[in-house]
Amino acid sequence: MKKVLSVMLGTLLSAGPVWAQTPEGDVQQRLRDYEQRLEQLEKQQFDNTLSDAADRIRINGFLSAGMSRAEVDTTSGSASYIDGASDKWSHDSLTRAGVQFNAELSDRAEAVVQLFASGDDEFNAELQWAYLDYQVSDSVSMKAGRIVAPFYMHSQYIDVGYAYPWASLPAEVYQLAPVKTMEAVEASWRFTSGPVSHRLSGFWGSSTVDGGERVANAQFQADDLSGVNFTSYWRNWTARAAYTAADVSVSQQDLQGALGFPPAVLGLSFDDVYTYFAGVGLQYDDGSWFFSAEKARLDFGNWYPSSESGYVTVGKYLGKWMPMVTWAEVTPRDLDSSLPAALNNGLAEQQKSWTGGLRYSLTDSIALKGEVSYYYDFSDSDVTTSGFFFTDGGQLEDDHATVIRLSADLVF
Amino acid sequence: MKKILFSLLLMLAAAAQAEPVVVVSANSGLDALTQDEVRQIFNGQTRRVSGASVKPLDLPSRGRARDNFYQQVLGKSAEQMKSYWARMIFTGRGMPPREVSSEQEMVLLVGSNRNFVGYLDAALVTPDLKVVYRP
Repeated sequence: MKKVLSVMLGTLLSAGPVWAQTPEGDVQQRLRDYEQRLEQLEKQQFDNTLSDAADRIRINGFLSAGMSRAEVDTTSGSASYIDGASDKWSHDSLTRAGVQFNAELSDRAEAVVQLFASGDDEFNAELQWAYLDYQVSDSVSMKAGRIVAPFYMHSQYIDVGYAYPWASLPAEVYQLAPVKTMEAVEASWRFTSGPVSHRLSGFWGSSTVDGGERVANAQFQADDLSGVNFTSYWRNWTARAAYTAADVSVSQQDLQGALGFPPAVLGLSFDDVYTYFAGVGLQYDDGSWFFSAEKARLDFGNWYPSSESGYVTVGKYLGKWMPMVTWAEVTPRDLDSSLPAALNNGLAEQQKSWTGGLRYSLTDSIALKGEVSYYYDFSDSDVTTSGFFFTDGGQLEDDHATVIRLSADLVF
Repeated sequence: MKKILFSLLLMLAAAAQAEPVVVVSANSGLDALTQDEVRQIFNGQTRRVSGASVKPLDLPSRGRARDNFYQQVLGKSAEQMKSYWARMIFTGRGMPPREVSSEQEMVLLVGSNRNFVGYLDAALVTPDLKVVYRP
């Protein structure tokens, strides 16, 4: 081995007459020059890559493939849960995907477009986010365009399953006000006070909200939709408070669909009603334990039943596994007792649930999740409801039901 | 004796490898960062520290140095950070730090721009860099 090496060295030396003939100091000087030039070239190359066109447009995507099934007994016909789970395994309701393009227009301006399609909506692609972001300073930024409303802690990424540990966020809070996108302007300010950092944002816009199957897809028009939300981060803790208000209107025709009779019979209407959504949330995540809790209120300033809801989740990271348990509740508030009981029963929200879930990280960008939810107490002394279950005419046989969900969530 | 020395050396080498330090350019106005400041910078929660504009840089993903850094300083695994950034990206609240291609690139970039903040194995720190945080 040594012999081979010395032969090779010898050949190298004899093949390099320049090296052999030049005085040593000269060689070192040259080497230094080369090194310097090389370093300069490398620096230039890095500087170029940083301002490269490829870097000015960033593409990110997410995808969730899921299936769900509801175990619910009805006197006749079938029933389905608000997130689409029905008595047969269905693949549509939890399946969804999105692609987001971030285009840097200048040092301070950025255009962001997010295309989104879901099985819920027969995979018709829609623009979920489309806004211009302008960085006024290191701490203040403005957005204008179509953005997802930031009502609750996880509202803005409700479709990105990979971003949270649940297979499906607690419906008691997240399906209460099914507002998703709005056309708005938003200003946000980031600042720190010692070890705590904060984000304060305010927005103003408008939106049309589909109330969902339970109210025959009545359209709630929300004007002057404005809100503030304040989030503080300290080590592993996140605390958030939000208040959003709007003037909400529903046409008499849609109201008739929701009520099942002409609203004029009872002298009811729904015009420019002051409505607010308020929520507080607390989250802890130290990489070993996960805790999240929120309390929310949706309040209509008229005869329409208001609701209060909340949930508490605790999870434990165990290597690639994460078992978790959630308790959630929604109850009606301020019921108008002068209205017929049937009307309140039809519109009020009343439900409790226990959910046990398990998350497994397959890779660092794919998560598999399974979840069993047990829903109960749809009725109490004030109201008789079917919770977030929707029947095609029949009644629920029991005051409880179960939903199973499985999903694979990924980001790319 | 030789054996002991050898194992001591090994231990030293292992200790050096397991210790990522946070660096800025030698010309940077920053002299020291607290753990909270380092967390805020690498979580994208702040872009300004003590009046100086800061831009974090990440080592390549799936690398041991990067995983060590996030585990030691933020207490989070690679998956947990990915989930965190999914929340930020898809809500327009921020983008993860720019990813460099190698430790050499980290040294060159941080050394050449006073706004960059990076992290490295302590053994790789050059005179162009200034260590501002040790876990």
